[in-house]
Amino acid sequence: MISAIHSLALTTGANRVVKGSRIEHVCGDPSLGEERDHEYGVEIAQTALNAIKTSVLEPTLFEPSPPN
Amino acid sequence: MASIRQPKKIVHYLNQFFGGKGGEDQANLDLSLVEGPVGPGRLLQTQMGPEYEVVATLICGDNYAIEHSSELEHSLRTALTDLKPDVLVAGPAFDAGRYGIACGLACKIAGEEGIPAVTAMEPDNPGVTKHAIDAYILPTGADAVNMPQIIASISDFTKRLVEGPDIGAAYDEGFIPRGIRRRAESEHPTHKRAVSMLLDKLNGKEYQSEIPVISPDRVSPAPPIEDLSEALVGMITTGGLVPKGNPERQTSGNPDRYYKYSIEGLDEMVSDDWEAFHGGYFNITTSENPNYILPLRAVRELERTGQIGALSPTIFTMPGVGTPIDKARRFGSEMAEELIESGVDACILVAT
Repeated sequence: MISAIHSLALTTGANRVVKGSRIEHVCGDPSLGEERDHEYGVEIAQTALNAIKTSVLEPTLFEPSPPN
Repeated sequence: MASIRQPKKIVHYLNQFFGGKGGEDQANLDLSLVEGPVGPGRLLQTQMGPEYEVVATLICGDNYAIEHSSELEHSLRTALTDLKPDVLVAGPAFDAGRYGIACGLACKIAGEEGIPAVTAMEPDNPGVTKHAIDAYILPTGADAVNMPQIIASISDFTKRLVEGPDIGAAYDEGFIPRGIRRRAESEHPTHKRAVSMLLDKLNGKEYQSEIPVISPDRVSPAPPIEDLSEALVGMITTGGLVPKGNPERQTSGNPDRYYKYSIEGLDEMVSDDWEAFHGGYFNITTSENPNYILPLRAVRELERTGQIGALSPTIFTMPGVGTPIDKARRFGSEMAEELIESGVDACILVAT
């Protein structure tokens, strides 16, 4: 799951947690401008796919690269 | 003339081991009836005294109880209808999982037939997970060393079930909470109770919350999918995504259902067609760009570049805020079933 409140997601037992941007804009950041916002969104979605590809034993956080 | 009172009738459920039939080698035995008390039932009879009589013991193998649960249900129902007991006692099952589930089932069937019932087992027994809502379950330790004490508490509880007064709340009566909340009147208004609870907490005294927090389940992680290039990927959001204008009147939190929408042929979520309706965060930013709670634009790009096989045409949405755990668990399991049915291999859930 992708969540801006990733610590809560981990505490409540979600096994693959992707660190979202902020509660008001989980999968991007409007302050980056349209193009970089979209790139950041792709990076977050890409991190979600990496999480699905990765074997985990317990709730684990996956961090997308911060926006350029 | 003195009236002679008939003793109240108890039927006792045991597994093959406590019922004296044998160990694991006898675990496939189906339900049988023995007249009078057997094994722990003798202790129960002693504790209950002459006003009660353990008229029959129903004994079933642990494997049979699990592998043939619908047959067991049927035979239990038939036996209870014939015997017409005043109360059913099952177990105690301690940490024995199959036995615990069977004891819970026996109590459930008794309840459906209007017969009060009680069992006892360790709180971690899967019988608790499966049947806590169906049965009064008294907590025990993992093994039978404390059998006399357990039988004594079962006896007290059994007398209460038959003679009253009515059983009250779990934390007063000592049974494992069933997840049932009953309306009750208190002499003190809410604000006084809240403040006195707070004072007790601050002073390090014991206090009892009126709304105990249910701990979330631990779920074993799903195995990874190393190659997603052929995978069908689904998407869920709990960010309260709705079609513009909220035509289905989704609530802003604690929903009674989840919603499904088609994203077939869409390249991204646009604010002319979609918005957020969710009582737990500031919705304007997301309503201006709903891709923030359903990253369709980003995932379509990953689909185009072959990093996933395809995106499922149906998305699931709900406003997550304020949803109690039991409801969330039900929605989650129903969504998972629907996803599996539609052939989805992996799913991305966006939570705010």
